[in-house]
Amino acid sequence: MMKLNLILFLALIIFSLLKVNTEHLYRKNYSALDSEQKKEIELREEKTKLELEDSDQSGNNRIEEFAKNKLNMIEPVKKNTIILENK
Amino acid sequence: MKQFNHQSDIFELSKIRRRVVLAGLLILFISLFSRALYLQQIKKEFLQSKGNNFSIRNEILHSYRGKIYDRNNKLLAVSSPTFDVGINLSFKNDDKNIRVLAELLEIDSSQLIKKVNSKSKGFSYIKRSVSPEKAKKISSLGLKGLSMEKKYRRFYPNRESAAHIIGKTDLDGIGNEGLEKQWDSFLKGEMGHKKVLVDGGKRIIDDLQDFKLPKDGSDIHTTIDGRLQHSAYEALKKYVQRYDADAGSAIMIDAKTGDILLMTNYPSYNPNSSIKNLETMRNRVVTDTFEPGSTMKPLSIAYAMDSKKVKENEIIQTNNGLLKVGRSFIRDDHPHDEMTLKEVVKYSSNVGAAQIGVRLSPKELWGFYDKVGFGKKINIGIPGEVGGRLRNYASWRESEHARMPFGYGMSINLLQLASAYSVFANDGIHITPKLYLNKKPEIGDKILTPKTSNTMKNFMVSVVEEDGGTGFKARIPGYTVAGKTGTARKVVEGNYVKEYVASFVGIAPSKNPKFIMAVMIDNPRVDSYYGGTVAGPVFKDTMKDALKLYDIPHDKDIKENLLEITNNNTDNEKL
Repeated sequence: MMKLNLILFLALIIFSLLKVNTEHLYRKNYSALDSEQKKEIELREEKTKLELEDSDQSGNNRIEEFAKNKLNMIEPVKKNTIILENK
Repeated sequence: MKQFNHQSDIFELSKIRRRVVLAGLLILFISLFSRALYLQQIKKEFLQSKGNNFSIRNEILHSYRGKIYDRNNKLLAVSSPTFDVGINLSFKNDDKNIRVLAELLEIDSSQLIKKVNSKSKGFSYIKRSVSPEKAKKISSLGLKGLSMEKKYRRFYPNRESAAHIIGKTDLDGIGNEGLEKQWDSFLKGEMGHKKVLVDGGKRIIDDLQDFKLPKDGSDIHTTIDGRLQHSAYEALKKYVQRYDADAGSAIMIDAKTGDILLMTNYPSYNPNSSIKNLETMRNRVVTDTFEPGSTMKPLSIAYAMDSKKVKENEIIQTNNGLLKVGRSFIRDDHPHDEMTLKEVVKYSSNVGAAQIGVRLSPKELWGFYDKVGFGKKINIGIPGEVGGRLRNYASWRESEHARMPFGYGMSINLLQLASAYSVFANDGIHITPKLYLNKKPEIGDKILTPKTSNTMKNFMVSVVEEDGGTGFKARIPGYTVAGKTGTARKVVEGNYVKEYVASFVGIAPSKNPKFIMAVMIDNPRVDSYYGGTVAGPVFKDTMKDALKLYDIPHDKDIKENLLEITNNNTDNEKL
C-alpha cells in the first residue's frame, strides 16, 4: 500500500511539473505568435507605405514638375516633330 | 525534586489560562475568516478589477479601410498608419526633452514648453498625423504622460485631379465625399477586439477566448485611368485660366465598354489637406446641369433621318439664318439661305436644326431623348448625380418644340451628354457608362440604324476636319476626329443672361472609335466663349495623350514632318 502511495505521489509530482512546463511553453509560444502577428501588421503597413510612396514618386504631378522645372523640358511644337512611318 | 508521573503533568495549564488561549485563537480565527470573507465577497469586484488591470488587457484589432485603385492598379486612395501625439499635463517633464519633442514635431518649442508647464491639468493633443518613424523617435524620449494614439489616415496620391471622384474621409475615417462616401460601409470593414493575458513584461501570453476578429474593408477597382485624369485636369486648368472662366469639367468614356476613363473638374481641392472653399468640392460632371446647346443637334437630326423625316442629301431652307417661331426668333451665327444636312451640322445652324426638329412630333422627340438617357439619372454609383430636366412632351410650347432640337429648354449633365454620343461610336447602340471594373458592360438598345449613325459621324468629322467647321481646334495630327461644338446661354434664376457654357463632344478615332470625350467650360469671359475655341483645345490636348497612351493606330495620313523608314538599322543611322 505504502509503495503504491509513493508511486502515485511521484506520478503526481511528475505530471504537475509537466503541466507547469506545458503551460510555460504554451505561453511562450503564444507570446511569440503574438509578436509575429504584430510583425505581420507592421510589414503590411510598410508595404502599403511603400506602395503609397511609389504612387507618389511616380505620380504624373511629380514627373511633370521634374520635366518642366528641373529638366527644362517643353512639349515639341509641330515643326520640331518628326513622325516615322514604316514602309 | 518534583516527580512527574505522566507527560500531561508537564503541559498542564490552569483552567483559566487554557480558556484565555482558546479565546485568543478563536478571535484570531474569526478575524482572519471575516477578513477573508470581506475581501472575497464584499470587495471581490474591486480587487478583481485591480488584479486584472495588471494581467488582463483589452486589445483593439484595427480593420483596414479598403484601397481604391485605378484601372492600371495604381493607388487612388489608401490608408496608412499615423500617430496622434498628446500629453497628460499633470506630469512634469524636463524642458530639454520638450525642446527635442518640439523639434521632432516641427512646432515652436517655447509654445510647447509654455503649454506643458501651464497650471492646467488633463490631456492635450500636441500634433496629429505624425509619421511612424517620428513616433518611434518620440517614444524613445521617455517623456512622462506622453500618449501616442495610432490612427489610420487616408492618402490620395492623385491629389486634385481625382478628388471629385474619390472624395475624402473626415478625421475619424468616415467617407464624406465621392466614392469614399458612396461605399463607406463597404470600404471601412469592422473593428475587432480581444481580451488578453499579459505577463510582468507586458508581453501577451494568452487570450481569454473573448475576441472578435476584425474584418478588413474591401478594395474598389475603378475604371479610371490616373494618367488621363491628370492630363485632362491640367488641360482644363490651362484653358479655364486662359479664358477666365468660372469652372470646367471633362469626362471620357471607352466607346466600346462604357468604362469611364476620366472625370475631372477645375477648380478642384486637395483631399490630403483641409478644404477652404466648399464650392470646389462639387463634382460638376454629375451634379451640374446645363442647356447643351448645339451638341444636341447631331442627336436630333440623326433621329429625324432615322425616322425618315429628312433625307441625307436634302437641302434645308435656312432663310438667311432667321426663323420666327411664335413670338420669338431663332438666329444663326453663320447665316445661309439654304444648307445641306451636312452643312447644318458643320456650321451649327440653329434654324436648320429647328426646321428639321419640328418635323418630329414632341412625343417622338421626347421619346428619343428619353431613350438616350436625358431627364433621368444614369446611376453610375457616385453621390450627387442628378438627372437633369426634360419636361413631358405634353407641356411643350411651340417655341420649345422648335428649340429642343438645338439643345435649349432642357438641361443635362456632362455624363449624360457623353453617354448619348455612344450611339455614334457603336453603330447606333447606346452604351451606359460605368465606373467599376468588375461591372459588366451594359449594352443598351439599338437607338439608331448603323447607316444613320455612321452618316452623322461623318457629318461630325466635317465639323472638326474640314475648313470652316466650328470644331477645327480639336484636330489631332494622324487621327480623324468626329465632334460637335456647343455654345449655350446660361439660365440664371429662370432667365437667359449674357453668360455662356462652351462645350465640345468628340469621338476619336472616328473610323474605329475608341474614346468619347465631353468638355464643358462654364462662363468664359476673355477673348471667346465659343465651344470650339474654348472647350475644343481641352479635348485635343487630352485626347492626344489618350491615343498615344493606348497605342491607337493612326487612321489618317500625316503629310507634314513625315519620315518614311524601311528598317530599324537605317532609321538609327538617319536619326
